[in-house]
Amino acid sequence: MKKIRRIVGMVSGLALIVSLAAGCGSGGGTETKAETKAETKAASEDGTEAAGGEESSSDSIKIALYGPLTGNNAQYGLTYQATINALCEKVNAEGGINGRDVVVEVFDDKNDPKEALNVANLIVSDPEIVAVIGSQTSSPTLAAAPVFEEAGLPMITPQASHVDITPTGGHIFSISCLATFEGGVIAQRMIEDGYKKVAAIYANDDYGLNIIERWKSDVTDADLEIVDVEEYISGQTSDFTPLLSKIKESGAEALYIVPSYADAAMICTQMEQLEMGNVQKYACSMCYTDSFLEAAGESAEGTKVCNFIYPETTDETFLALKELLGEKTSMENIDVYATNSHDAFMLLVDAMKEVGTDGDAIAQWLTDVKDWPGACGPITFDETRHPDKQLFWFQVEGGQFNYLGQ
Amino acid sequence: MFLQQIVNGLTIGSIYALVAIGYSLVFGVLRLINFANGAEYMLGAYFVYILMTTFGAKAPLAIPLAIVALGAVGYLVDFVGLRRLRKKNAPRMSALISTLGVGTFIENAIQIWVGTETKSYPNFLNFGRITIGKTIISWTQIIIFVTCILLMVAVSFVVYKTKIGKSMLAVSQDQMCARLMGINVSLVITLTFVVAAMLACVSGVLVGSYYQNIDTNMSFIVGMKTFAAAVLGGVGSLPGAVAGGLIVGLAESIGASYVSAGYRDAIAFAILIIVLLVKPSGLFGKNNVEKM
Repeated sequence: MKKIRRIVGMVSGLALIVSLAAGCGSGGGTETKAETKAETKAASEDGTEAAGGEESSSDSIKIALYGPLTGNNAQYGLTYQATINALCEKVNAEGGINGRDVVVEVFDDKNDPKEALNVANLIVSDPEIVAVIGSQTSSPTLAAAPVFEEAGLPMITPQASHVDITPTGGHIFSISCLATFEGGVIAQRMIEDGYKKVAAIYANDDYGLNIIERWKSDVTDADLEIVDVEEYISGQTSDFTPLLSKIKESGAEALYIVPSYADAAMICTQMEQLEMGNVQKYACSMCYTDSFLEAAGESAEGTKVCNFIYPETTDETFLALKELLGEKTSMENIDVYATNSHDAFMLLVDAMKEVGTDGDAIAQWLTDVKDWPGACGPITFDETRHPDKQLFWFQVEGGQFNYLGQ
Repeated sequence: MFLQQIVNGLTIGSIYALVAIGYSLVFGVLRLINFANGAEYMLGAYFVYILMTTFGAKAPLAIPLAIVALGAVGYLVDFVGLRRLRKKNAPRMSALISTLGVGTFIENAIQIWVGTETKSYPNFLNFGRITIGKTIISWTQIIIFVTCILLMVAVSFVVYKTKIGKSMLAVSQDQMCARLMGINVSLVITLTFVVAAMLACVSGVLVGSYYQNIDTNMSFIVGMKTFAAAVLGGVGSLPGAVAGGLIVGLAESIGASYVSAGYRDAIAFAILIIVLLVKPSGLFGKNNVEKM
């Protein structure tokens, strides 16, 4: 009897320890930090010296990355992490920033605004961190940006595109075009493709609401009829059939699928189930990823997707990034998550090489930068602190993205 | 379109119903809400996924294996999380929190093991579609609905007609008395957990197959909805659990299409509140259970 009790006690004790460890892991902070440091160390040549370990913490330059490393959008955050880690190794191997090593500290915001705010406070409380990259979607970025602005830390978001993000202040930049831009581009394409009755489905969050307003006004201006617009609560919906049945009933010829790839893939499979093959699907740049093709399978066929990358590009920065990631990670296709996190990180590195680690100076450098060679086209920030970009169109055919044109 | 929405609602409702049977079973025997049930549902779907992708097993092998494995998990949930509490006569609240802890543990373990991104899931039930008028019904939907009804009948038969079922009912009424009558109370409780976990596994696999997608958050919402379904039907009543599941599914589907998708959950829960106000014990629940 006693023995059994002891075993039970041990097992539950063990379970507790494991779950605690798991909690730490997903909490970001400490563990990922140690990992990143170790990796960077291994890459830098002087990392082998015993004394180097202690000195580097005061001598190195710390950049924080916050993004979704767990949860629905984890895939994107992990791409950021992998890309930036690979670049960080490279930068350090080439001598760092004026001889100082770069250390990237990674924080997990779980794609949750509340979590992002906590993470932001954690980042600004570390005086060694001089610049910030993140987050991936608009809602967490909107929550965190004011904290960095107040602390005078320059922040670059690789992806978030809500119109209210960069007006937070002069230290906040985005590598992405404004959300409204993409809504406009998709509306334009629908108009050019000659559809008369159009519909849209979007998640009721900051990004979705922003983009849908622009799309609606552009489409209405061109005298297209909006037959149905459906919204849903993101992260709590996996059954789209009621909404799709309604869209089918409305007689829509083309459907704009606003959400990112996981939801979009489910929408595609459920559209197939409801035999909505005659409705032309349009998806946003967030769906230009292999995960979308894999998750949606055959039901993705025919979907038109826009994206900021032209795969046949001969752009040197892009090819160099592709080669680096091919070597250091398992990524085969370079997506916009890789290019944009590359741009965010390298912009900060280049800025610090020239003006040092002062937040205001970095922000000024970023504001002044002209045609900086980004991985998908040159970057010049306009007065909204977003760059101007070109979009390319693709169509899913035979399980691949086929290039359609600009 | 109305018929199509009914079909959509019945499908999602059948899934809620299947998980709700598990809830009801455990609640019926132990007067305990098993919060680990939702996690078991996710775990079942992931077991099949892991067996098929990592070990290359075919569906006819992977699904029964996963169901057996989930039976073992159900046993462990009881053994690790609850048995000691029962022996110590701990308050019911402790047991409830313990199941919540076990559920969270399972969820985090899977997140670390396979990652949190959405996985594409094979559709084992893809046998085409039937079109009646404008309404499209896929065989997947029919199979889900039939499985749900069959399992409800089977579990009801076991609970209400067989000896082991009668001992479950006896344990639910009075554990001490049942023990005095020579019923192995521990065995009955363990068995209940095993069956509930197996049911959760079946519904997890059906859901994965229907949406062709699984993710680690899938248990959260379903956990809430099935809990609502079980309460709506009258916790402890198996036909009630199925009726509750179907009603919640239908309410959601029709609410989402005729009112607003933003309010779909609100509508489902509003119905729950109204039913409970009118009939506090749920649709099929017996008022006098507590007194006995």
